[in-house]
Amino acid sequence: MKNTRFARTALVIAAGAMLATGLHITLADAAKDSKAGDGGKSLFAPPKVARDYWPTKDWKVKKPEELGMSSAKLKAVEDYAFTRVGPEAERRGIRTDGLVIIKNGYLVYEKYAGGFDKDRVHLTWSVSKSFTNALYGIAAKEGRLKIADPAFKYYKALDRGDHRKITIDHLLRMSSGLYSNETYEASPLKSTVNAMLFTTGHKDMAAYAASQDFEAPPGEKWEYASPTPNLLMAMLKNTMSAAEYDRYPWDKLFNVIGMKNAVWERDAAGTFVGSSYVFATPRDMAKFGYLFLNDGTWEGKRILPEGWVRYSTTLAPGYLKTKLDAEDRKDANYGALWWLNMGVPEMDLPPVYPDAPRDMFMALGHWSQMIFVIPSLDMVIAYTGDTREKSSFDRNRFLKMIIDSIGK
Amino acid sequence: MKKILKIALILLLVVIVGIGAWVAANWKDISAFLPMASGAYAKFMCSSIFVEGKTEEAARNWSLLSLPVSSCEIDYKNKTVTVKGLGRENTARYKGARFGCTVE
Repeated sequence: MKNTRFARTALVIAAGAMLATGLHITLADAAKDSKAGDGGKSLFAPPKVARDYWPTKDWKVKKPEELGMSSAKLKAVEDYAFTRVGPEAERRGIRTDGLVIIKNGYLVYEKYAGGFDKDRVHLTWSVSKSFTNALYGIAAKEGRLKIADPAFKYYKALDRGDHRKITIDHLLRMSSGLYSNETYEASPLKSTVNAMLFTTGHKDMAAYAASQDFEAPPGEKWEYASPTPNLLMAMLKNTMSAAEYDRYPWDKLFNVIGMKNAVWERDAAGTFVGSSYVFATPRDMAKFGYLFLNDGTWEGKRILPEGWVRYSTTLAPGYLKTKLDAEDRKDANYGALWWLNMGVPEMDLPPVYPDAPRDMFMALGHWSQMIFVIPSLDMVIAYTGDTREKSSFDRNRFLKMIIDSIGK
Repeated sequence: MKKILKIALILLLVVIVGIGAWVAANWKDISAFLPMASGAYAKFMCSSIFVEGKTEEAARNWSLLSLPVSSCEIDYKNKTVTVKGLGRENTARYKGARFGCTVE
């Protein structure tokens, strides 16, 4: 561990710039926590391959067999994912709208349903949170902010009492300690996500986020909270002009990786809704996953700073300190605005998708919007859907079927 | 017979008072919640039609809430969706190809 820390430190010193210092602090903190087990550990290692092209313009297509995959087995995936049951208005069972599978940098499978096609964007819900993560990586690389900075530096309403102790790092790792009640349909009256998106908080979602009181000290408790990424997106707004901010996701991310049709809705205060409102095609979602698969590089250029994907896929230290409720225990583990499949033995948590590799990380949204990034298989899976009966969709089985289509 | 009626009446009163007390105790949450029906439906319909390009029928199927909506007006010229429900009204407006819809 000392060696890795030394290596990381050396790396950061080599990078030199001020902006890397913020990252370094985070990485060193993470390394320190690794005494506790998986906390502070990332299983991320990018595929060691030289890319023969980049899909900026579009994905190149290969037959599954050209990459040692089985079309027949992918057909079985299709039968599982694309068989709709019951009348449309009842919205029962698995309701896949789009599926794109990328293997070794090539598109080997795609199919659309529900009126969607390869050019039609789909609401990604909480997959948006991982886009917020990427913009923070880019902003950190530009030196606009440091991950270890206190959040109030970028958001005046947080300049009060213990709220001053919240850092950007806490927010990215869903560990601010601010009150949250993340339910949509189960307890609609008390849900902070409903209130933020549609009622009390909808005009200025960041202000709503910042107005919450603490349920735990910052950094001490992990809790998935949709207001948090909106606070981050408002803080980002305060590091640039309004015109620059409105172009920022396109100039720095979408246009760079060729997400031509991406839509990002804003609240009435003009803040991008970082929690929920990115729209994209599955092909473009796969490009986003591919950026992370390739350690934040694209066409030979570094888009996200060195170590960013590792940071994003490091188990949040606050997660380890948290006594998860039964519902949270059924979910994946958490990094920084990305979900992880690593499993946490000391918390008696097996990987949530046991038949998929432990290094898999995911962007996951309401009603089954998903990007799966699997570095060890050099694979990205992008999925859109309208699957409201969550229990009807066995994601582990779905992933196993896809992975089983890869020949030995 | 009279006794049963009396008991039923008392029970009914208890239920009414109980509901009243619950509403009073939770009024802040309830009144904050009332715009949910129109706000969510307006946003869902606006994005479904103007961003995702769904047909009106597909948009309605997708946007259907368990909350009552009394009217939904889609203005294709100005690209707005105005919805009434639970005594509140909300409008979502399409802001362009990059920015999609926002509830005003």
